[in-house]
Amino acid sequence: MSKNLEEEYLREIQNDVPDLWGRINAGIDKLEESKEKEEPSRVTPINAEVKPEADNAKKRGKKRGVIALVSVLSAAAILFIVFVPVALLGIAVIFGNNAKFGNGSAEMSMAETSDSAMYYEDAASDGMMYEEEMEEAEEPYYEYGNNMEDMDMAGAGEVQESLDSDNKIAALIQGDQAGDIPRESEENYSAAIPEGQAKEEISYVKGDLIAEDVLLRVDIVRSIDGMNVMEVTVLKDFKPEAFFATDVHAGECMIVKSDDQKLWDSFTNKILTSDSGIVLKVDMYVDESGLNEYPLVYLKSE
Amino acid sequence: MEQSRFADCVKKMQSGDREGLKIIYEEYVGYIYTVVYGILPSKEDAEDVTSEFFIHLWDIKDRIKTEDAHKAFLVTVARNMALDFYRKNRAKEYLDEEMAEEPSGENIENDVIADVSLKEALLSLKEEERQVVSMKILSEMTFEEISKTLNCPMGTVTWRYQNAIKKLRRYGYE
Repeated sequence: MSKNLEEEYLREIQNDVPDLWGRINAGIDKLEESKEKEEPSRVTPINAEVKPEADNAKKRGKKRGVIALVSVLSAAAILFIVFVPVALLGIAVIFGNNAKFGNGSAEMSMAETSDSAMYYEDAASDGMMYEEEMEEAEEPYYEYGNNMEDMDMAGAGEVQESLDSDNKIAALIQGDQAGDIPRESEENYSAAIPEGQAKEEISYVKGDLIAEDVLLRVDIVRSIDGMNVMEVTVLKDFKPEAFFATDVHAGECMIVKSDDQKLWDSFTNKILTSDSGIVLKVDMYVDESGLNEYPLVYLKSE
Repeated sequence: MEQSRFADCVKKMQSGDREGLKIIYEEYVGYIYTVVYGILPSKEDAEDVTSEFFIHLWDIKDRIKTEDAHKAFLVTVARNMALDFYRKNRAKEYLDEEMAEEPSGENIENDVIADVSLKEALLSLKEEERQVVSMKILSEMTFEEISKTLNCPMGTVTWRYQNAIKKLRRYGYE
């Protein structure tokens, strides 16, 4: 006949439980007493620090004096600020200085007009010079980019620098759209890998900024057996401004902005040939702010 | 005890009425004592800690959450107090007692099952085996908790428990 260990063990221990209520009651009494003792001891030091009434009266008197002084001084300051300008204006009116005031304002508006005229003349001449430069520019954009750098360097510190820069970019885009600048049609390039092309190294690279300084780089490699292998790498602490078309080499090309994300048009382009003979086209894109350039790499289709 | 009754008792305690605590005491003293005794095999220590438990309950009466499962709360508090006592005050003493005791369990390997009381059956166990059984059965502790309390590997704890159960089976305990 088997016995239940758990049941019997529990029963046996619980049967042995002594009456502890008396001890508990005594313990609670002690606890309450100690709590009561603690409370007055907290109050006593505060009472001991109470100073004689005479001292308090003196302090109160001093406080009142300070408050009165502060209020008188602040009232005087307000009176000075409000009434002095009004009084001066009144004196001016009385002595008939109205004519002088009128002449002064006329002079000021004249000066302003001449300044702004000079400003607009300067801007117009800048624009003409810029148009001339544009007409002379027969080379690809990336070369023009170098000129721009020189110009920017020369004009560093000028007030209209940012405005000029925006104008240049806009003009470049206009020129590009009008076909003034010779460049290869993007239709000849495909983001997809030509079918049947076997390639061991990176054949198509696509990347995107997923955060301010994090670049998601997607490498699609067409293996010899024709299967595409996608590898995703996250590059942190990436600085887009540090990458330019000329810095992108075959086999390590990356796209910072994908084609559908371009906010402006192609800014410059460059053709690269990889070691294995793959032809890549690198475009530079400018973002919305006009300040950041991004390389975009295409694989040239046959 | 139902949760609502427990809540009433706590309300009474909060208003300064010790009757509330007495109702909880009468209902749970056996259970709490058993849990404590499972960890502290000394009757005196178990009584001390059980008393302290109810005094502590009175002390924290304003912070008791009456909407939670009160039994689990009471067991947790009691177990923590017993473990605290074991670790701080008596761990060394218990260890010394264990070392001094004769390993009586070995002698009954081939004993015939006899009609013996549980007390006698428990006496056949080594002290560390009895401790594991007590913690497991009386204090409702997991093997992991026992291993942490006794500061020994969990494998050792389970091995001791299995050994103890094997021995107790000879006395007809399942």
